Amino acid sequence: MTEADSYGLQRLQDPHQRRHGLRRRLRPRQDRGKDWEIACTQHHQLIDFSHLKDGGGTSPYQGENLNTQRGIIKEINFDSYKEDAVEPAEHHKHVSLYPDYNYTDSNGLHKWGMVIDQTACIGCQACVTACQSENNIAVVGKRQVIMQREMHWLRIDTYYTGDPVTPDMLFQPMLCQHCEQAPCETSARWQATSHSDEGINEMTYNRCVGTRYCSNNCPYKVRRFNFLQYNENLRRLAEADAQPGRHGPQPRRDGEVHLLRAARQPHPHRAQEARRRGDCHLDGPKATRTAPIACEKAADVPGRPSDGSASRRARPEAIIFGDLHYHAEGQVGPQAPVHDLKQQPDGCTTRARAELNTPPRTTYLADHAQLNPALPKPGDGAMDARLPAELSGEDRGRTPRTDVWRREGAGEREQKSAETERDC
Amino acid sequence: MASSGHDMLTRTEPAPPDYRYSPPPVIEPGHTYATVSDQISAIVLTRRSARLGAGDADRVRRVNLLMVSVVWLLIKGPGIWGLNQPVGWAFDITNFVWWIGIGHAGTLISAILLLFRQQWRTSINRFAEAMTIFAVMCAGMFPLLHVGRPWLAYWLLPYPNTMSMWPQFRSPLEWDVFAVSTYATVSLLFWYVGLIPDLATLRDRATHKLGQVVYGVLSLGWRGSAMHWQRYESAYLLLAGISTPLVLSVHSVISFDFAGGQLPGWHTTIFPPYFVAGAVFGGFAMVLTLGIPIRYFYKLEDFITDRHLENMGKVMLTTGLIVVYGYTLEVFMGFYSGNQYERFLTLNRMFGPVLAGVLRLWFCNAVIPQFLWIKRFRRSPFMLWWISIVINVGMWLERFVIIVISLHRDFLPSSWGWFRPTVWDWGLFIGTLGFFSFMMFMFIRLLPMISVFELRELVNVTKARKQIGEEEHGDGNGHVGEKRRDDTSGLATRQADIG
Repeated sequence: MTEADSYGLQRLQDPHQRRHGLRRRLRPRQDRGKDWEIACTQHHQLIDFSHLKDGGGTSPYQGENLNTQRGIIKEINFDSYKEDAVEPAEHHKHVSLYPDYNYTDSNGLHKWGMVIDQTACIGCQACVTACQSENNIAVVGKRQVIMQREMHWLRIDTYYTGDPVTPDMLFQPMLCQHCEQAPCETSARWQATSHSDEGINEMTYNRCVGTRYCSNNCPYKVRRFNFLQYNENLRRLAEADAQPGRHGPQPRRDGEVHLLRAARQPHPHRAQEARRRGDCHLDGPKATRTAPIACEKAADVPGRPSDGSASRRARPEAIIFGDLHYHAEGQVGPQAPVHDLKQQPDGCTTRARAELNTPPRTTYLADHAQLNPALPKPGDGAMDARLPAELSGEDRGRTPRTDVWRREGAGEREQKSAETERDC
Repeated sequence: MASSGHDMLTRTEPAPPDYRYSPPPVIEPGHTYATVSDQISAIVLTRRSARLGAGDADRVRRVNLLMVSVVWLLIKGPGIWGLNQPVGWAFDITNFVWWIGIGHAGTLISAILLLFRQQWRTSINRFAEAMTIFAVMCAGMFPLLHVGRPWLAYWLLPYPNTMSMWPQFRSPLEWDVFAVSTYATVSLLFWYVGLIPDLATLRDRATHKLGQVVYGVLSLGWRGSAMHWQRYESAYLLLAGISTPLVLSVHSVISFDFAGGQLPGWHTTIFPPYFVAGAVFGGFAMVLTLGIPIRYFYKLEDFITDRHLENMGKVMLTTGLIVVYGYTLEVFMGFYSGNQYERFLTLNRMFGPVLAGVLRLWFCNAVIPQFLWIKRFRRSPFMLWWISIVINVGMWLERFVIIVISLHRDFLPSSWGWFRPTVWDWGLFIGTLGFFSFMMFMFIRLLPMISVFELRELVNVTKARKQIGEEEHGDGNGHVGEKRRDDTSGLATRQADIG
């Protein structure tokens, strides 16, 4: 693949896009007639159907905007904020056959929670990489990626909105939501997934037999399964950069349980470990913002110092993790604790698939989509710089469109051709 | 004739009960106790030519395929199948549900039809019960093999252990363990208890020493005394009573695997009755698929008559209509529920990438069985055989659609995917098919496939019926479902038949 002329991968009919998505058959010029499949984990989050048999526009739902319809990513601008925020959003009443977990009986010092700020997320995938390396997640190889068996615990889902020629991308880091009544916990036959006294869905690898029922039941499909002996890959990697004091799930490093699945190890476990090691002080108020989990460190705008210095506080972070016990009332800025971030008006936060009554502990902050009126409006020509005066009086807010767009690389946004519009 | 203790006991025939309102006899006339015993036990006791040699070779090949598939699976892991992230279950659980469903016909025939005193069941119950047991064996392989670490499958059982762990009883998979193991145990017991008098017959008729010893041990010292018969009948009826709820419970519990899940397409309250009907539907189809060729090859048309086939066709038609009702209701609820995920699932099933699969499913399970309304089709073994094959395929497709189509596109479009079966998916499936037919033919060669002693009862009934027919010049055609008016004590009548 690497030797192939990449220009040959483009077709004359659609020079600016890759039409077939994940399972696209590529035809380099010098190897015409041979097929390649591109292994790319990012493209597992394709949200169109062009790579499927029914993707040619015959299916009735193809034009549906699944993002809007399903309310996957909440998008707000100033106008909608003014309207929505004052109205109490509809809360789904939690109904369960099973009793709520009684945290008071446990010795849980902490109540871990996470907030993901979708405005701050730019989809750089740094948190994915950080998670992969921190947790020693096995890499599975090209063929297995093509079969959709990558073991990422964290992925970046991407959706599109706005003008189809220059759409805006909405990013949603998707990871274990640590449901209060998790479907995976009632699925595991030997209690391989259990609820910790700190509110975490904990995976106990040694108890996992591997029915994959938890994965089938997970509404977020974030459980991962070690289908083959991916631990062999992992062992090679781990030996290459073994670090002293590395902790966390290494179920495949012991070699004996070679078919063990790696479902998701909760990140806060990391913090617990760190607390035990004394690396950081998690019991004080300040420390609630600095639990050292890998994705949180990584989920920052590029260029941010990664040493956790004070400068990070002034910059947006996409993933904020901490102890929900600690709260400073009314604080919503970048330094606010997780608890207070969750307490924002209903219009500003959302929980993934809350209507399923799981209910997830992780909160997503809505994507604030307030463009600077001084910027040229996307789609008006090839981003030609117009004078702000020309555009005065127009509504700058993005209006969600009713199309779902194929995910492409971030740099390809402006390359979308008019043909795309017809297709979709 | 006198070689069996049972035959000696029935030498003096009692006055037959009033059969004027009873169902007509269901074996061809002209048989005596001796001819019945001879013909059925001869299948076991005489050596046959290699007429079915080609079939045997094929079955052995497929059992080999099963063994290769299992060994490779144990070496490599479930990754040799086409499973992936959204589709965590595919062929494995499809096959599991399909096989378990097939077993249901046997239980229904042996238990419920016995309690309802449907005499026509006697020609097929042994055979169908054996089918149940082998189908459950095939089914049981899949939950054990589909897990990532099959060598820890014993963890499914609640047992005291050093880990102080107890299974998760909130998991429907744990309920499966009990449902299926109960089912297997009761079916096996029922089958074996039913075999005991016939094993004694075989013991008495066997000429080879080995046969005499083996059948002698298995027949548990059966001598055919009146006391034996009395206790035997009580035990058999009791086991039938225990089996009866299993017909309904087992597949209901299996359906909880899905109904208890979160997934649109699984999270459905209609599943328990719909699964049970589907199980009986598919099970009878399998009885016919195997029964019709066997009846032909072993010349058993006198015992498994066209009327048996017709009755089974009627059962298939009825349960098939229930299944179609289930399908219709699923589509209806997809829109009526107002749940966008359900609606999407329904559309995805109808217009998604597996349109062809769903069309085939409807064709196999809804359209083709309608031919069973026509008597000519019900009484034609050839047509019935083809319909049964189509239904078998359709029921497999139904489970596949329920499992894979629901899984592959759920809540978040980001995690959608598709499943492509690999050669090992097919290998294990075809391997279990081979194992099943291998076991069936082993059974036919080693044990009486038709209950000899119960057929001998029917000889008596036939004779009595014939006399009445001659006296009253009746045509001898009653309705199958008609109950005997004078039947107040089933056991007593049954005892009277036997003598």
